[in-house]
Amino acid sequence: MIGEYFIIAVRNLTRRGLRSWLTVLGVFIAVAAVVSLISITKGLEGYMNEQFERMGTDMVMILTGEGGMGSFGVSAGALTERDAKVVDRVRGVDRTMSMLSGATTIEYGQEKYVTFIIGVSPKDIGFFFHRMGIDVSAGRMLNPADRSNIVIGSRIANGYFDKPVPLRGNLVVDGHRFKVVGILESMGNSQDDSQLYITKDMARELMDKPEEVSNMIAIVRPGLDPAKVAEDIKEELEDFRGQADFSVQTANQMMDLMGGIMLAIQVLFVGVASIALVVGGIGIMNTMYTSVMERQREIGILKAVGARNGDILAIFLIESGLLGLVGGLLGVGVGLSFALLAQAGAGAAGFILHLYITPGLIGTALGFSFLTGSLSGVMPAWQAAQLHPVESLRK
Amino acid sequence: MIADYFRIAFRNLRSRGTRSFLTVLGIFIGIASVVALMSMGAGLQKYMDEMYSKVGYDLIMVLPGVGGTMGAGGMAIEPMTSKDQKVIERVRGVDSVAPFIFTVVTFERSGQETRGYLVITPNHLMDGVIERMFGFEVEQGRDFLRSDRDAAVVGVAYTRDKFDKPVRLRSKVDVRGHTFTVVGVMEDFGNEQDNSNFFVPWKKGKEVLGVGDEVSMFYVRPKKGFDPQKVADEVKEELEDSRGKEDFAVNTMAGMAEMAGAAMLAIQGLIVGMAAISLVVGGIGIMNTMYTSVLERTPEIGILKAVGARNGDILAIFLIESGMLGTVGGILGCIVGAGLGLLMGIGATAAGIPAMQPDLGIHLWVGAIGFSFLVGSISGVLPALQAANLHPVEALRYE
Repeated sequence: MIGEYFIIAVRNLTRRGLRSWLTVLGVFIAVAAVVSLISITKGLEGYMNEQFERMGTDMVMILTGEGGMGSFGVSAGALTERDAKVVDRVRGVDRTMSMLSGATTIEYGQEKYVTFIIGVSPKDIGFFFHRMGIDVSAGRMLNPADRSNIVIGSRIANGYFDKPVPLRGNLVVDGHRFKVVGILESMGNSQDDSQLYITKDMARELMDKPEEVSNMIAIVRPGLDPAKVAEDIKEELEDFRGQADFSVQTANQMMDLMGGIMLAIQVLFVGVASIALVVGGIGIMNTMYTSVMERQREIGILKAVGARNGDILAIFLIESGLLGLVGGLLGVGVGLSFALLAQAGAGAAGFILHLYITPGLIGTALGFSFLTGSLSGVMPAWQAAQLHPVESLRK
Repeated sequence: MIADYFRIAFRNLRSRGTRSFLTVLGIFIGIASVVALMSMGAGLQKYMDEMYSKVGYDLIMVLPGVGGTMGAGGMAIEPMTSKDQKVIERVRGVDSVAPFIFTVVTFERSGQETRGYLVITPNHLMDGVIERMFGFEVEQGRDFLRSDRDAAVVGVAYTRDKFDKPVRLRSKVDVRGHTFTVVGVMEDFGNEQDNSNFFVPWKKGKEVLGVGDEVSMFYVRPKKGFDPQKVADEVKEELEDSRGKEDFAVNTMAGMAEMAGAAMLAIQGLIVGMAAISLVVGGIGIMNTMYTSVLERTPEIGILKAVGARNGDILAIFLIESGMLGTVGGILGCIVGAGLGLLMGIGATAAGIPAMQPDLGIHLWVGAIGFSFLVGSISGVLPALQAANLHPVEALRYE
């Protein structure tokens, strides 16, 4: 029975080829837009969460400035090594690492740019990158004995300057000559990959900041609640400094914040693109109304030979559902291709875009387009089912 | 002649009521969302332009950090100091240089705490420094005098919801154990961040924060008759010479307005572009309706041709019909889109962003309606050509 309905529906659609295709085209464009946008934004969100998880949810960041933004341009209230000692002594803190970072000039050959440099103690840099699963692709990490040696991000090595910077190459940083002893693996975004790493002692000399630290990371002992430890850090540090002119954030809090922003972007983009899906649905409804009008006589005959209202309803609903489904199939295919194209484009620009492509997304998109089609067909199908057999035969 | 075409087109659309309605609905939804989004974008642009022109396009800002990042995020940077101020003051064409220090702090009033921007203001340089440098007016009370020590001028947010007990003139607010007395309230900046500025005098402010010679940024006014961009370029050169590297940014307000405008345009283009997808889908709907119309009216076309209508006449009839579908959708879409824009504006005001107001200029209406006519006509081209090229005898025979 259902099989026959399908045959009738397909026959009708192919008979009005051009118009069916135009209807499908409407749904297809909308589904393609929605699918590619979801795939890209969800992928971005997944990538960010992965980054946070790589660094570990047992991480607490301590930043200068109450808003976590620093005292714009002035070093008042900067965190120092003494603050790091206080944080290190807080119960539940496994270890801390502090960094001194800043902007600096970098020269190679005739080219000169400005980028970020991070001074970090050699024992911390290995630990930190090991936690993130990042290794050197050539050479080694920093040693305590290193002074004029530097570890560079993958983009500095390749892509930043006209000529690639090789291992043992010489870079001039802030007017001082450094030898490249290590090149890091790519971290997936050009900003992180464009950073320089030297020992903290050397950075102190270079920036002339004997005590200051830019930010601190505390690792919480396994089994303890990072949020609770973060509270303790905040209290101890406020006691020590006499005022709360710094901010303490756990990895989870930062993840929530970023997640909220991502969600807002996703809702806006996907919401706007979904409007097209509504318009596509209206197109299906229109095609179905036309179809009912054109086939009044056929409906009359079907009814005369015993088709019940339910049968007529089913035939038309299947027809409109099929229009939606075919549009969905094409849309998913083209949408995902678009997403892959965007990925390739981002890759060329030095940014690894992770796409979110799962059977769930594809299934939902197809189900949703079938639903859009069926819902758009309800009213026309209902009208067809209610036609009086004799009246419609007389048309 | 043309009037006849219109009459025929109109009659046809009326006779197929539901279908015409659904087709128009498709275009209408697309235009409504595009108009709503564009009006918000244009409104925001207008607000920013007003803001910049109030501050004055000739103002030059000098910020430390790579690309003017001011070292946000704890990045250690070479701060600006009074040495840099002297360098800037010596540049030809510079009228006055005002240093400012910005930082986020906790404010306390009657045991309640809130956070906001502490702006340490160089009141020792001139009377009325806020109005002169920021361009915005002190609405209640007064601006700083050179003699002020413990006075404060607050953003309007402090008189609204920052504290349970709103701040008024002569209210006392504590910052890190020091008490300031409010002497002035700023006019509404139109955005929450600027409305949360808390201006304090130079000497006392630096004491509270415990800073030495360092400042966050300089506001530089060029002398009348000098090109701000030229003065900015010279400031940049001189500073680079004295600091040894370009780890700061010099921006004119005109340049910043331009940059912000370009960024806004990009975001707007992206969102409106996505909304325009539904317009394409709506256009496809028109094409579909027109093809159906041509099919249904094949005998009619045959008769028209038999009595002497040329291909051009048939083409015109169908193009007018599809153009009308687009235009009607466009007019309805504009009305509803404008309504949506106004609603969003009300919502934004309620959410504390009064700057987000739609700008419903005449060009938006004309553009949107013209565009929907275009979408309709273009969608109708292929079906109309098909109708025009029908063979009269074949068409008459068509059943």
